This record gives sequence, structure tokens and C-alpha cells, in this order.
Amino acid sequence: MTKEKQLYDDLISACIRKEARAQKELYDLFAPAMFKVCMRYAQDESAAQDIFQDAFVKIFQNLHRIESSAHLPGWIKKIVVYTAIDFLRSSAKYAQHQNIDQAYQLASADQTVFQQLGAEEIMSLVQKLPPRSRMVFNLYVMEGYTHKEIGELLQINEGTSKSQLFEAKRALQKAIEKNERIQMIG
Amino acid sequence: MQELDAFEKYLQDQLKGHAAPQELMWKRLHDAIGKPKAWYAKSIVKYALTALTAASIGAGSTYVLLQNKATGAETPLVKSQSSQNTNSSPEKASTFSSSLFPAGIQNSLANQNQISTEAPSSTLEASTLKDLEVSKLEAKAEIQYQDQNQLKDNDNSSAGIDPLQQEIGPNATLLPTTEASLTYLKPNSIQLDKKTFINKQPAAILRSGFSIQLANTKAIPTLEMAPYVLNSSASHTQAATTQQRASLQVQYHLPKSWVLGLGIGQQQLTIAEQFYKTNVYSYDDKEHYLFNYAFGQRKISDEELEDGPWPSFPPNPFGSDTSHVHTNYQSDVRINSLQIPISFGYERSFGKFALQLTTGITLNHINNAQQTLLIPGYSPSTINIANSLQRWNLYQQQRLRFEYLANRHLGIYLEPTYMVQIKNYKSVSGQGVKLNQMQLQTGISWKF
Repeated sequence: MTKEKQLYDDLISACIRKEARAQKELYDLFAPAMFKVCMRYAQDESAAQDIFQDAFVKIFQNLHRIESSAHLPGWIKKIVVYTAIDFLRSSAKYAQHQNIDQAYQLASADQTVFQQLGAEEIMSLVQKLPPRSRMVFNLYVMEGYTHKEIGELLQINEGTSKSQLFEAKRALQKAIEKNERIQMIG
Repeated sequence: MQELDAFEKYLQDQLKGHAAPQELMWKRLHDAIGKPKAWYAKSIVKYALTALTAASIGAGSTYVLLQNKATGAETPLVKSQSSQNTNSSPEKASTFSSSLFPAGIQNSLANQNQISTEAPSSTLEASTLKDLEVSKLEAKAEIQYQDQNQLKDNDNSSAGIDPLQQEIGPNATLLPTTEASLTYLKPNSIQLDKKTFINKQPAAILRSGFSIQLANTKAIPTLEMAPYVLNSSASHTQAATTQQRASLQVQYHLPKSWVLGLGIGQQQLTIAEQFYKTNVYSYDDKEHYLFNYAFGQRKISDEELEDGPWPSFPPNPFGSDTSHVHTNYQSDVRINSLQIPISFGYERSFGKFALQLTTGITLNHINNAQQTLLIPGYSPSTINIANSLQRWNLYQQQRLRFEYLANRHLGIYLEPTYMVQIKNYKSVSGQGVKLNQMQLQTGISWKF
């Protein structure tokens, strides 16, 4: 049994017993990474806080269902991502269609342009994406899902997933280029 | 895992990492997932305390009422006498004093001891009601004056500026004014401003922090003491009066409307007793006569009494070693003490009014005490009895305060108080009295 697994075992047991100290420890361990995930899916920090709160309530209420403590980080992330998707589904009106082929005709971006931007600016641009594009972008680029898996998860077809990714990337590229022009003028 | 292009990889790298949520998020989450709190526990304690205080006040009031009924006394004058004598009413006491004591002693009595046979309750009500009326009228006038000034200021500040322009901002372009547009827009906007201003509510006044109060007190004391064993023809009356100096109190207003108080004040208690046709005995060789009073017996030698009109000796009932006289006399005990009330309670505000219910104890420390013996035909004789009394005694108190909050800092209040003595005034030999008091405090408070 690894040291990490032992820690997770102890934390899970104590959290199931509703021990406040253990709950805080688990929270401190995963909250920073998970809040970043929420920030990526949400349109602003306020929405991210709502997703984060809902996700952690689900985590603490369902800890007894986890099969192996070794899976705890992945399990937590999955709950956070699913909660974010539920949140966006309930609030977003997304009905955008795009030709599948266009997704892969996207010209590869000029790296010298977007390297000018910092992480915070990029996060801000991602948050401005339309909800469905944002979900697909996050699932594909950040979570490593395939278009097929995204299609099943979001109940859309694979082509739509590709077009959403294309939309997201094009929007980000445009925003980056616009930002670069403003900086040059300034 | 699918292959990511350079742009996607770059975005992935930038978007990885951590972002610490606000500290508040954990509190929010903990409220949702923490163990359920017994939220009702605090309410139970709060209501129990309120009920207990209310019950104490009720019990105290009932006790006083029943006692008054039992003794037939409506004023603080309490009578206790031997069964055969009926000459014990306050009116008769007054008559007695006029007829038996010389004029000089009468005057000195009135000036020094301020013993009054008038019912103090009527005096208290009249003056208190006057004070109340004046306070109310002053407070009302001040509020009206403030409101008028505020309205004037509002009118002045908006004079000369078009209300329409005010509402839509300085940079907006006004279209050519037509009669129809003016009747549609203008009157409403002006009325709305005034109304909003008039209805402006004062900020919440009950908040945590210190407040200081200065109060004046009127008291109706009730005296209790063990009856004397007197001869069959004797009678006895007693009366207690208190004079309260201005008292000062500091309160700390805790969160959630709880309040702690500590104060300081001074009280002068006068216990006047009159004995009629009472046998006074002398047991020792030097013939020291022993005059009963509230805290023991006052010893006067026959040498002191030699030149006065001492009544002729009646037959001695206790043999040749003792002698006794049949006389009238008066004892006045004056006790000055420092009072330290410590209280705990709960307060609620209702707009500009607040209600405060407190309970606690009052420590009473005797600073000095004197006893004056007055025998008809002799000069008054005064001694210090402070050393023969137990210095500390204790009251239990319940207070209900009605306060008018004139502004964020200043308030005026009326506070009926009931105080029950739980550690009596006692002499070191064990004789003593118990004093309960109904008080009415009027005061001003200042919140910091």
C-alpha cells in the first residue's frame, strides 16, 4: 500500500464519519486544482464558484461510493467536470452547427502571435467562448476526451463536437490576433 | 489520447495549474456538508432566560401584592405592634409626634431626617409623569425640526437644476420640451424625490459596542423585619425611605442582541421607627437603659437622662436588680451605601424604540451608618453604627427598559426595576432588616 493511498483511505474514512478536520484536509488537497477546472468551464468566477460548491457537495456526499481510494483524484475531477457540464447545460442555449470539414481546415496558428499572451488572458478568452464550444474545447484539449466520447457525454454527434472545437480555436485565435494588434498600436 | 496540434498544446499548457478558491468558499461548503447544528439550542436558552426573568418579575410582584394585602399596608409604612394596641396608623404617628415632642425637636427631626408621613407613591407618580411628558414632547419637537431641516436642504440642493436633467444625467441631450412631455414626466420625478427622502429610515441602532447611561431613580422600598417583644400597652411603627443619587452604568452590547452591564450608584436609606408607651429596661448596676431599634439595642445611661423630664418609675416587674421606665421614643437609622449593579440581558429594537430586559445582582457596600435616638424632652443623641453592621449585602434585580432612540447615539429611557434583597442588612449580632425596592429609573444613554 503506497503512502498516498493510505492517506486517501484515512481521509475518505474520516470524511464519511463527517469529521470536519478531514473534510478540510481533503478540500485543501484538491480545491486549488479543481477550482482551476471550474474556472475553465465557467463564464466567470461567480459561476465557477457555483460549480465548485455543487461539485464538492456531491463529492462529500458520495465519498462512500468510491470503490478504490487510489482512484480518488480522478474520481473527484470527473465529478467536477460533470458538474460543470450539467451547470452549463442548464444555463446555456447552444445550438450551433458547423461544417465538419472546416474544423480541420483551420490554418495552424502563428505561435509568435499567441505567445505574447499570459495564462490569465487566455483563461479570460476561454471563458468568453460560447458554452458548448467551451465544453468541447475543455473536454478535448484539457481532459483528453475523444470526439466520440465528447459526443456521447454531451449527447451530440461527433461532427458537431469537431465543429465546436473548430469554433473555439478560431475564436481564440481571432481574439489573440486582435489583442496583438491593440498591443502594437499602443 | 488524441494528438494535439501546437496551438492546442500551447493552450493546454497555459490553462493547466491551480487557482486557489476564496477562503469563504470553504465556509460556504462547510455549512452545506458539516454536521447539522442544533440551531434551536440557542433559541431555547434565549427563551428560557426570558421566561425565567419574566417569572421572577411576576413572582416578585405577586409576593409584594400578597404581602401588602396581608398587612393591609398600601404605603412603605409597615406596622408591627402588640396585639392590644390600635393606635398605630401613620396619621396618629404624626399626631403623636406633634403632641409629645417639643417644637425644637420636631424641626430638627424634619430637617435632619426628612421623615415624612405622606404617601410617597403619589409624589412619585406626579413628578415622574411630568418628567415623562416633557421628555416625550422634547423628543418629538426635535424629530420634527430635523425632518423639516432635511426637507429644506433637499429642496435647496435641487433648486435651479432641472429634475429631468438630474435623473437622466448631465451629458444627455434634452429634446425640445412640449407641454405633453412635461405633464407626463416632471411632477412624478419631484414627488418621488421628496417621498424617498421623508421615508428614509435611520440606520440600525442596536449594534455591538459600548454605551454609557446616566440615570435618576425614584424608589418605593418595602421593609421587612422581625417584630419586637413589647409590653402590652406599647406600639411600634416603622418606615423606610430611600434617596438615590444619580447612577452611572456602562453596558457592552454583544452580538445577537445580548447585553452586559456594570454600574455604580449611591443610595441613602433611612429607617424611622417610633415606639409608644414602651417599657425600657435597665439591667446593670450603672443603670444603662436599653432602647430597641432595628439593628439591636441602644444603650443610654441614667446619667445622660438625669436632667430631663424622665417619667416616674412604675413598679418593677423584674425584681429589685432591674428598673424600667414607660416612655415614647424614636430611632432613626441612616445608612449610606455604594451600589454596584451587574446585569445581563437581551434587547430588541422596534424602529426608534428599544426594549431591554436584564437581570442580575447589585452589590451594596455600606459606607457609613448612623443611629439617632430621640426621647421627648432630651436632645437627639447620634452614634455611628457602621462598624456594628455587616458591610456587604446583596440584591437580586430585574429591569425592563423602554428606550426611545433619538439618533444613532442618544437615547432616553424609562426603566422599572424590582430589587429583592437576598443578603439582608444585618448587625454583627444578627438583627437586621430586609429591604425590597420597586424603582423607576429615568435616564439618558449614549452609544459609542
